[in-house]
Amino acid sequence: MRTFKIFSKVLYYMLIALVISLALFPIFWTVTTSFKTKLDALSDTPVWIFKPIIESYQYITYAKIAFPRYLLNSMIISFGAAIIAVTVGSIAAYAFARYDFKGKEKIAFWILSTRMMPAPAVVIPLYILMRGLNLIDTHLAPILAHVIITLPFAVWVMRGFFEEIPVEIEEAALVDGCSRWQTFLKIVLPLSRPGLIVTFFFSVMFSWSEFLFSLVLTSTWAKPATVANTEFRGWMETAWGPAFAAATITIIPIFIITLFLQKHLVRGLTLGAVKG
Amino acid sequence: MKIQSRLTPYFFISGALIFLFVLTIFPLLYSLVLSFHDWNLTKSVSWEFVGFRNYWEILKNPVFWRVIINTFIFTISSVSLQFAFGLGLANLFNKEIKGEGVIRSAMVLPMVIPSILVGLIWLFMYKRDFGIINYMLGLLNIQPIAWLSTSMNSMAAIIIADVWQWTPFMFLLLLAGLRSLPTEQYESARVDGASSWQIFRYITLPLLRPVITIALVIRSMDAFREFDKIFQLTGGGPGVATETISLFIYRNGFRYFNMGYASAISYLTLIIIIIFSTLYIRVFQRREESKV
Repeated sequence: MRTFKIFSKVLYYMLIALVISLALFPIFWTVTTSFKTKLDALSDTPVWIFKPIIESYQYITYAKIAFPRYLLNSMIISFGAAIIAVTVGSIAAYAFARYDFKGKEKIAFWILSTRMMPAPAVVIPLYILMRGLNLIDTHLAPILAHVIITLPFAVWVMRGFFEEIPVEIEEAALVDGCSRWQTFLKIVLPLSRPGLIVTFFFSVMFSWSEFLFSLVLTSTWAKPATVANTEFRGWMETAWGPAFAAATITIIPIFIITLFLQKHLVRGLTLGAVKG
Repeated sequence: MKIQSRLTPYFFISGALIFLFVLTIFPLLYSLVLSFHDWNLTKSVSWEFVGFRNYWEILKNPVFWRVIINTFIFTISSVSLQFAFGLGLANLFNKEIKGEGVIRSAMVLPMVIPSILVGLIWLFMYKRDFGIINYMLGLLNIQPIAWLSTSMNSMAAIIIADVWQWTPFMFLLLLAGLRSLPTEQYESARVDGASSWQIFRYITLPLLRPVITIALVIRSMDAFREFDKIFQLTGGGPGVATETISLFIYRNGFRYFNMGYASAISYLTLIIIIIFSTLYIRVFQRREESKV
């Protein structure tokens, strides 16, 4: 009986180890490939032990492709989209959390449904709109397009955070003669700072990862990292080392954000529908 | 004073509404009008009114139907595999494990990688000559597979990459669901002598239904409009074997610049999505009612 117990425990941990290696191996492979020579990277028997070189990283920083510029673009775009989402979104979320008004749930659901809308359905008219406004290949074009994703998200998640603040605190402020707007700015917002930060970084993450809108709305000047990443593929061959060096640099900030958002992942990824 | 306070909430939400109106409703109306016109972005500046011709041509085009079938094959297979694996993993992890926090952080990494990069990573691993997957299969004495050159294999390839990326999502949600279940029912069921399978089938699953519904709805919606990984891995090929609706719209709009035609496809897609999401939600609601 005892040996059986030990045996099943060993089996259990082996299963868990297998699952984790399946999840992590492609990431490990990406990072290591970015530090290999071309010969090692494309060898038909995988090279496990090698002397790491940073040639691929040099290639994307100053040799051929100015990848840092695209990272900067990604940062401008994702921070822009996140700032709009958090400011405009939290004001709206406050109304949904604290007021009863005609059509409230319908409007809230409509806001949610825009998040569910397939990007390809809006990408064509959005392209024509931005072209008409002469915004193609500016940072503003992808920022506005990403607001379609980040704003409904911010409204729904912030609503949940506001609802968790006890109403009594606000009532006390209202009795003291503050207006609703002052109460919101001076009491509610400071109290929900953790929620605002979480919402902000989720928005940054969504915008940072987005590809289709950026592909269509930018070409050279405002191109973000996700789009630039596809350009290592030539007609004949792909520059795998530099492509993976660029991929690694693009992924690192997201992993850092993920670690920071750890506790809120479930809530964020379901737009507040499931509180993890 | 009274009027002012009644209007206050609308004032609060007006900013968000204006943004979403300009960014979604306006473009959608614009493309509705455009879908009744012939307009090639590269050839002419003027729109030519053609009535329902774009719609007829799409419905008559066998590629469109192939693309719809592809989209459903991709969505249904990916989401059901993710659900099965996610549920299995959630049950596997639903006990005291040493270092659980670290393990969970590691498990969720695949889903936060930008899809376009997930495509790149798998493209590299699928390579016929130097790809690690064929090498590993070789160690198991399996012949190398031409992952991205036959119709069946490339469909399998994009589904596998999607399952790798999004199984953690199902896992995370279902684990959160499992952890929040009340324990009393389990104890009384165990006292009554129910087997683990009976407990799972008649207590756990019904209690998990709300979380399952949310997870399935979100995943299906996202899989249905998947673009990035397919664009990167197969570009819709070989031929149109893995072309989904998103890629079909992109190809017509931004390769051939037939904006009217592409807008009409978008509208047909929107109609399909609305029909299916309504059906989907209905089915789930009915199930829930019949349980009560």
